[in-house]
Amino acid sequence: MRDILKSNFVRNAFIILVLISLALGFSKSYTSYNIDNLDFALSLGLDVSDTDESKLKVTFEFTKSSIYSPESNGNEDVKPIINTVEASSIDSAINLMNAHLGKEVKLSHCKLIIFSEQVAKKGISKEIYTLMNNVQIRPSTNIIVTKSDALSYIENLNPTIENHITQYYEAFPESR
Amino acid sequence: MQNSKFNTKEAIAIVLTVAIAHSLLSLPKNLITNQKSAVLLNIIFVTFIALCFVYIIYRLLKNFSGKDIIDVSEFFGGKKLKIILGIIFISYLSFSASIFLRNFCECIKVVYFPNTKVNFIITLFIMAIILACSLDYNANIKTNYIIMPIVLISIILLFVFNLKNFTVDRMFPIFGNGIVNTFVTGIGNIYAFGGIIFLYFLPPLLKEPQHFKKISILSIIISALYILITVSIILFMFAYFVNVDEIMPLFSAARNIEFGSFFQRLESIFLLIWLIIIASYVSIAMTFCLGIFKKITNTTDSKPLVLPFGLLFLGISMFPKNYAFSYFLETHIYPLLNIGIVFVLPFILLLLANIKSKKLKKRGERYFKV
Repeated sequence: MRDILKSNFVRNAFIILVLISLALGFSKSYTSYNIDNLDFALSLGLDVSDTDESKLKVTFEFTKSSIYSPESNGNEDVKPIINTVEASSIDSAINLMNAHLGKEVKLSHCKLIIFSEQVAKKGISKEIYTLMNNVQIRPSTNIIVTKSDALSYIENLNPTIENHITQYYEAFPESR
Repeated sequence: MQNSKFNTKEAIAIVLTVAIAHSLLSLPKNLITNQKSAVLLNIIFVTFIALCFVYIIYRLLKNFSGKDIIDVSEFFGGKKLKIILGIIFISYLSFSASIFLRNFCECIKVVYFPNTKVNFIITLFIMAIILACSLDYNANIKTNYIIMPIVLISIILLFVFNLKNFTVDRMFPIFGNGIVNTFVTGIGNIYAFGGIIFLYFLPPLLKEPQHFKKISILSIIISALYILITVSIILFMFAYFVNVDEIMPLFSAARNIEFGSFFQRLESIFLLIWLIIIASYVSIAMTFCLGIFKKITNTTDSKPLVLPFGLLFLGISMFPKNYAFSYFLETHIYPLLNIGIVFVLPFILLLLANIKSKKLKKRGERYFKV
């Protein structure tokens, strides 16, 4: 028995088997982090739902990742894509959006989280805790409370000097 | 044989590993939950108690120079007690290291491998640990000694880089929930010094056994400083942190480090360093398990046991059905086991063994077979 275990063939076969099983195990995570399967949200807006006050209307602002590719000629339409879903919490809104887009929403480049005044008045601690526990959200993400709807705030954000909205988001919350 | 013995610095690093590894997961959070704003005062108090305890242990072990707790148990209660105590220590070490590994892998899964089953991540760790333990007897001890300063520096850097995010006022009220909570019920936080367990096994493994006192005292002081720094980071940075966050608190602190828009997301570097120390901690636990098993079964070579023990560790870490249960085991069961097995049981045994040896000495008999 010991001779069998010590033989090169068995050892190599075992190593190959382990490598294959590990590759299979980790490939799912690799695929899910592939840029083709991700949609990067630039900002997140939270309003009270129009139909049900206990629900949230969550607005996601996406950008076309193709405009940042080296092949892009720079003349492409750089207008962000805005999508809205209604859900009971931020997490379920993200799940709904994932299903709607067929891709995974990634919040690691989210620069703004906008709460409407109505939501803020109801208390945002639950939402803040959710965002704190989300490993994708950076601690440096800016939080804004707007007097208008978060959706209209996002729609009307039009940078005049910067070409890309991302550059604008980097700069404007810190501007004085 | 001399090659398989540890020098003073390596021995200190071994004891430190436990505090370092556990402070990466739930330890600081638990301490803050228990003591609130009085946690820093409590750690200083508990350190003082741990130092006294370690000194007493040193005095008790002094009468059995060059012998570890397993030898002492054999002297006191014969082979049966030796085997029972050995099994208790093996169970404790394998349980604590495996559950800890499970929880760490769960955190890694949340951060980097959302769609990978946690079993694959644990298996990868166990394979590395089996490999480390199959090498020379003290290969992982030496590796641990090399990594230790890097980890300590990483935590100091974490503290310094986050200074701008600190709100020092969070340490007030200084007595937290009251003096009773800080100084009486807070004594339970002594489990933070779980590394003391390795001190019981060190005497026969030391190159310079005369430095055992120095090792004991220094390891407790450095552990205390380390815990103080990690707890300070979390206490000063996060308000009500303890109630909301379920992943590694120090990882959350590392995410706050940014230097302009060029140096961002440095937490990956910290996590890389911590990954190595976690593997090192589990491999040290396995090395000591193998040593104890070798001693209680009188086997000459422990290398064939590396694989079975690796599988045992793998099995225990896969035992909890979900993260909630393994988290419960780490935060509620581990501290109780720790106090019982690391502090109470060996202390009683050493005390009784000393009484027995004194009685035998009075009668003029040889009190220990050399």
